[in-house]
Amino acid sequence: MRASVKKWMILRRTVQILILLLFLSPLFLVKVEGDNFFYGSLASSQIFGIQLSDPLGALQVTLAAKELHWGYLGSALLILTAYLLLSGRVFCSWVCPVNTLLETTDLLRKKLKLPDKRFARNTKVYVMLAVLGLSFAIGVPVFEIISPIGSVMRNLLFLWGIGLFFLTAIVLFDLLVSKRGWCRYFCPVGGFYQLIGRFGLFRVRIDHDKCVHCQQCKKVCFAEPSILEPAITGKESFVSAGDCSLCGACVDVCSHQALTLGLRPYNQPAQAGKSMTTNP
Amino acid sequence: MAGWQALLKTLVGGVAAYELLRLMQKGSKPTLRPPGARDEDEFLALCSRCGKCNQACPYDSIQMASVDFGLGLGTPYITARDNPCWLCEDFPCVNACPTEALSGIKVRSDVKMGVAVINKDACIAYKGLRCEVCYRECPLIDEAITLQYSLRPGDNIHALFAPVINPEKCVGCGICEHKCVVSDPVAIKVTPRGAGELL
Repeated sequence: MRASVKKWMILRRTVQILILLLFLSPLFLVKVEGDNFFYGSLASSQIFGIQLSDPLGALQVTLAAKELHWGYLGSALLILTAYLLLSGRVFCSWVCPVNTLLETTDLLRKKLKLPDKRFARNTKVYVMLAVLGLSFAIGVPVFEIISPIGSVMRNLLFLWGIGLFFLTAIVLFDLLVSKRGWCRYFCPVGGFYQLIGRFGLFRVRIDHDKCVHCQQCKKVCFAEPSILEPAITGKESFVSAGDCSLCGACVDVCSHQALTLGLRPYNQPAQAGKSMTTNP
Repeated sequence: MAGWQALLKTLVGGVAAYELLRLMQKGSKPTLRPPGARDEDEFLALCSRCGKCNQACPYDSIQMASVDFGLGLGTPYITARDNPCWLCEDFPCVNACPTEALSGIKVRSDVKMGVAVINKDACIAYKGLRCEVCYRECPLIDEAITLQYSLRPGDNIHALFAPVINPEKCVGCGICEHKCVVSDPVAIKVTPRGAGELL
């Protein structure tokens, strides 16, 4: 067995830092009337003159305002297409600054023994639907106001102290109530990307011949350990759940090289002698 | 039965959230928004809270609202006394807005952020001192602000050079408020559009 080099972790950290630097770049670079090659936040930004917007934010605004603005929707479609091709929740573990923050609270969890309450992982999809419904009913993009992602961006880019209450609540919740609870069960952005997550071109693949069922991968899974179950038990040749954020932690930890992260195989071959799975 | 209970919980939570948010919406007050802002309710719906207008503003005039703005948290606003809108020719903030929360501005006269109002009790020009700061600094000099000459009441020698606002022409940029030499209270103040009805 090799001493594992956490190559996905290193790559992911690099991307996370680069993304943060990209968003912070207007603060360092010369400020001439938005002439920077990049500016904006995760709600909406501009790179080399191309507008990019958060698809869930765009849905909320459109429902709240009850108006269609094609330029805005187009800029959201660019981002949506990117995540549709990669895999929805790639956003969560590679881009989202809140996850970057919550990974730190996870480190604290390793040192202290804290409770871990479980919830249904589809809850975040319902939270997302509720956010859209409320946005329509009240006429305000509800989640954009309290969003911890928006709050991190505002505090980094504009002024320290803008609307930190919800972010603080989430950190405490993750720390004291449920391990990675916000990301796993409740974040509507994660819920949105979970919905499109099954279609991505990239997947965690399993080599059943190499897997020894040691369950190491489940211990480190960011998303929700149960999503690895069908692959481990031989029902799947790759992790199909929309929850998978392709963080690569399971690939890094597997000491038998049974897991790889790469392009998805064309088919999910049905395993002989296995009954149909009832898991969604 | 668990599904039934979950549905009930969701419904109760949803109604509570709806009522709470509606209450907060009623509490939000008109504030000075950047050029091209839609009426407050539409603005709160359309603004994606992305902050691009803030970053596009070359004068750092646009601030991002904190929790005291309720549902307006994260929206852009301007505090004219500290740093007004300097009315750029090309309106980078409007161009930066992805959602048309800020839109429809071609020339300066399209801007309708609010209207400046003079407090005659505080304004020293109305007391007979010759101060023309707001008039001179106004980007729409002789249109939005004019000077009205008259004899000082009960005084046959001295004149009043009183600034007068034309509410039709004033765009509400707040440069007059920023430059006003009188403080506490400021003698000229922009009333944000939409607040007019409340006065």
